[in-house]
Amino acid sequence: MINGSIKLLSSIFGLTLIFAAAGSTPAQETPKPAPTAKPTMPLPGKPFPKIIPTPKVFARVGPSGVTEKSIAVDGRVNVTIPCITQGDVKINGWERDEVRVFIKGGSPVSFGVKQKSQKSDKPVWIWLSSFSKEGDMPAVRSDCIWGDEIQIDAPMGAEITMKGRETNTVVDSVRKATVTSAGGDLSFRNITEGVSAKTYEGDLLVENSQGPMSLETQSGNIVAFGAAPGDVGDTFRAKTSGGTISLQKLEYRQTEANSISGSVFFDGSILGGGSYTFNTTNGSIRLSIPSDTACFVNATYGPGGLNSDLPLKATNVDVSPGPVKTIRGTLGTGGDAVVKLTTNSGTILIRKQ
Amino acid sequence: MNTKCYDIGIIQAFLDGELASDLAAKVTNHVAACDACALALADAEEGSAVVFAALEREFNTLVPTQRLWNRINDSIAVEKQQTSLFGKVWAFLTANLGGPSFAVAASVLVVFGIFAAVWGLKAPQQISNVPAVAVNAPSIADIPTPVVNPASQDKQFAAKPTLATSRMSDTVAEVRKNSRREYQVINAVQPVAPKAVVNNAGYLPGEESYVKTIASLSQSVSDQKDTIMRPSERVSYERDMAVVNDSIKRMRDEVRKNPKNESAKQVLYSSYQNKIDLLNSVAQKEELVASLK
Repeated sequence: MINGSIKLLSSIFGLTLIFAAAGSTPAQETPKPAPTAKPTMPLPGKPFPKIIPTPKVFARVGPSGVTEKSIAVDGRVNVTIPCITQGDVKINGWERDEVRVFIKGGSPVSFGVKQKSQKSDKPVWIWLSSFSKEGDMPAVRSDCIWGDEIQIDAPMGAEITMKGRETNTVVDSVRKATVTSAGGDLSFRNITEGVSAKTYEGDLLVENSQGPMSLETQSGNIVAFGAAPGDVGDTFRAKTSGGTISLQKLEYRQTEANSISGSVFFDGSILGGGSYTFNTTNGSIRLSIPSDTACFVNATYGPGGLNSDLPLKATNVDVSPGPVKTIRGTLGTGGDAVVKLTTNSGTILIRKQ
Repeated sequence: MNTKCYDIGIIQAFLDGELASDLAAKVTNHVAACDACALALADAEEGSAVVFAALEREFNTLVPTQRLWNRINDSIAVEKQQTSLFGKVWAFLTANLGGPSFAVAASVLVVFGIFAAVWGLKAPQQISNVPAVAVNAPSIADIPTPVVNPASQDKQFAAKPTLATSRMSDTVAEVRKNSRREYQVINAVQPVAPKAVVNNAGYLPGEESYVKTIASLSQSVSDQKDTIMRPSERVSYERDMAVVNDSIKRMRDEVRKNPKNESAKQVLYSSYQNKIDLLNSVAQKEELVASLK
């Protein structure tokens, strides 16, 4: 009797161990930590792991709402994210022809292939949404994805198009980025072929990027550092209603900055043949330019006045009593660059670098 | 019984039925009792029979009565009133074209009309060469719209008051003291010239389109502001709107005082555009949020 009970308990214990071992298997598939923002570089002598060149989607779902998916794509893929309702979004370029999405604490995600390359048969346009028809995902009838943390890795030649609602977004090392957000900060680094960004409440930062720039925020600041045109004729345009615009080391010949109740700062060079327009209604304008700058200046200002460290040879002065005064003149030898400065109630300062 | 015989005139009138009824009754009674009058009546009947036989063809002709004539005339009058002008002209032509004199006159008129038309086609080319100094209102191309850059058109606006000023300066030179007073004098002497600067509604050229655009946008946005904007965003929006409104007011006052101030005009139009952009941002944000649901 006792032996029988012992045998029964032993068998139950053994079965329990077997089931426990089987149950622990999915836990080993917990997604790996997301890659860093820097592009992944191969170590010396260690090539990248082989990427399966098919549009097959690899998906893993963790036990705590963690989703990770990847898909092989063309190197110049267009990644469209039609809707992100909330979350910290990091979009990184890497040297793989693959798009990987990692969402922590949020919605599922699925890829929709809109177009494939005729040469490589790889997707050149993919669409990210939370709608899924796969067996391992709950079907969600919405395009919007969300999460505490959303990381997307895409080829460096990728073009990102995204719309967000409440998202703090960082885009790094991709070819082109078009981001619109109802609220949240937007940052762009190392973009090679241009940025078009708009947020209705948040700051905008562009750093070390090339191509045409169109930056607009409703109530935030705009900072651009080290931006340059990618092609001849590329323009830089920044517009904010209630924030400050700070531009440093820009190399655009066509630059326009417009604010309503903020100030405009420009620290850089006035290039020959360029057209620079800085407007503000209720702020100051400060230019910090080299002492050998040659350009034509058209300054319109109010009670704040105009103060220049560089000799401004006035050719047309209208400082009669009134809310608006105008000075037209040249800096240095004149040249063919035109700088237009307009402020209603602020001060215009021209400083030497 | 009346013994007195009736004369032949009354008997003849009796035959013709022209007597009054009471007299006709008396004649009838008298003829029944008086042989002479009966004979006279018989003679008159014979004479009438001869006359009626001779005039039978004339008497059998259908002659309309006076009532019928009246009805016909009334119908003609009503028809004339209802006839259209073209109908009258057509009726006149059809009634008169048959006449050779009218045909000749019409031919002369047609030839004259052709010459007049050819001459008229040449005339506008000569008019277009005249400098458009005296144009009172700006052309459509001169009027800035909220979607174009108004700064590029300010030069065109400025040209007209300057021309008007130069024209009037000869006549009012002794009156003017400074530019503002000069403009006021021009206003008083020739109210046509200032229309190029300020129209009847008090707007600058192109300003009205900005104002209308802003009015329509404000109306559509007024309900959206409370729902689409968070408090901090709303505060920023209202602050920026106040700044823009203040700028518009100051620049409008300045332009009214000194219409030649091109810088003030530029700032004014720029401020209008800023206000439109501000209002647009509310609508655009609502569209964006709606698309993200």
